[in-house]
Amino acid sequence: MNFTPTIEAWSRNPQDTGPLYPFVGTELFLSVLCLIFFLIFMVWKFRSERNTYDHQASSLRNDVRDKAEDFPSHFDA
Amino acid sequence: MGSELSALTVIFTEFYYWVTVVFMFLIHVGFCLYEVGVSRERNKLNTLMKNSMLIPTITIGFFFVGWWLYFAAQNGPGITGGLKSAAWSEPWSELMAPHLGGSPESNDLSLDDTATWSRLNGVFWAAFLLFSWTAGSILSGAVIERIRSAAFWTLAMLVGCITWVIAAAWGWSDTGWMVQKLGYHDAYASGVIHALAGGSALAILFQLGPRIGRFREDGSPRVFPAHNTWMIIIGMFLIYTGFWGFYAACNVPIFDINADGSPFFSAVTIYLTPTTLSGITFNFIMALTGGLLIGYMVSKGDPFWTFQGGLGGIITASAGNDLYHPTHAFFVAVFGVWIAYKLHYWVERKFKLDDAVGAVAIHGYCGFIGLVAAGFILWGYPSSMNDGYASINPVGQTLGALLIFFGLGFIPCYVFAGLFRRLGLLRIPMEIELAGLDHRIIRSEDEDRTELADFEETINY
Repeated sequence: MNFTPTIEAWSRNPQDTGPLYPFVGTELFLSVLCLIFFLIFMVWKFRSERNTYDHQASSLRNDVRDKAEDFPSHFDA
Repeated sequence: MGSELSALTVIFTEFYYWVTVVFMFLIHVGFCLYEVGVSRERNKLNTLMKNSMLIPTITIGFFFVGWWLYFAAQNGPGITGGLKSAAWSEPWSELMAPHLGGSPESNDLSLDDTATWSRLNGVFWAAFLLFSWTAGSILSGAVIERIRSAAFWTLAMLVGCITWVIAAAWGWSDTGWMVQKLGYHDAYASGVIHALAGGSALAILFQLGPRIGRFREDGSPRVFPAHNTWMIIIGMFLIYTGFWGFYAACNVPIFDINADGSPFFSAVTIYLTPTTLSGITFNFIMALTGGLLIGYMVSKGDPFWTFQGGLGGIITASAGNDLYHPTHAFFVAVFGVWIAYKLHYWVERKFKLDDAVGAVAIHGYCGFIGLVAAGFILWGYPSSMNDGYASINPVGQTLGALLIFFGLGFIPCYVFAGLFRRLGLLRIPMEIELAGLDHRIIRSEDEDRTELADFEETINY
């Protein structure tokens, strides 16, 4: 792992220059972190979506039940 | 890049693909507008977010898996060899980042790799990625107003990062096994993108079921009026515009096609066979023309099907548009859109499938028909510059179309969507579908409006 700048002077021969980004050697580690972050996002989305829809569906069912109690003739029809 | 000619070639190619990516971004903008326009008022924001968020999800999958898979899987499952080495496309490769093309740090890379891929990796990757977004968007429109976003994004990743990439590796690369053994030819992706995404959408629709109220008790379909027709029309025009970029991205702009003699530079297809940007421009516009005319005719002037017909025309002719005469492109487009239109309504009535935007017809059926048509019209043409490859033929094209539509498109999505359905993760609850996916936002906005109006009334003395 290299913690000094990858490029210390632009006066070098460009044909000898490879990577331009800093911290060459950390790519695999950062790739794994990126994947973990994404997996967390997807798990969060599956869970939050299920919870949200369960809650909203239950709330909507209650609304319908309340309306049915307030206006029984309308719902009987 | 030792010589001025090679430097110009590489840097022009780099810029060329960059421009195609910008154009292709409009396809996604168009799909978003189109899809939101078709959805009902109470679902429009959810529809927008479902489609927009496939951008990051597919991008992550394509960065980590898809790009490598395209190179690695070209031999198929042991058909012409094993997995290919493609160190430049591994997500942790130094060439998947800014790089000047000099000596590689990694032992897995050669100087040739760095010289080529330091300038082209990112723009090639992005061009392919935009195709992946397109594949995801094709699914997205078909399933609006009732699918859960997390399940949709996972299915979009399956198609955008795995299955279409495998199809491209097999049939849309100069050494793919389908090109070698079947003579498969699909210059502008009638099959590997459109037929595949259409087959995938069809499978998800089977598992998902129609929107509540879509079919009457006698089985006839109800029309759900679009909430904004202008969004649909502008969206379609943007998709047309983006398709120019799609076509350009399917070519390599400068390539020496006379390797054994004095240099002769030309644009080439993904198979490295010669074509010209000028020629495909004739064919693109004539295919669009044929599609619009037949779309208008069969639908008796319906704007939705007329514009869809234009797109379907391009998609049908795309497999052979590198070599067709413009009149071939025209008649192939007319034939494909006519069949797709008829098939759409037959399948809808027969199987009670609710394809909200006609995606299966315009992408799936048109793409499939386009592949088969190219097999007949280009029968006997070489499929590649390489010796010993099968030539283009109707049997190879039909087998390729079946493999792509059903094998790589329909079956994987049918299995995964079925799994999500069993787990209760595919479809939203009935109450929410009836109230609308945006019902909370709409209610909250109504409350905000009322509160603001009350406040303004109190200060209006």
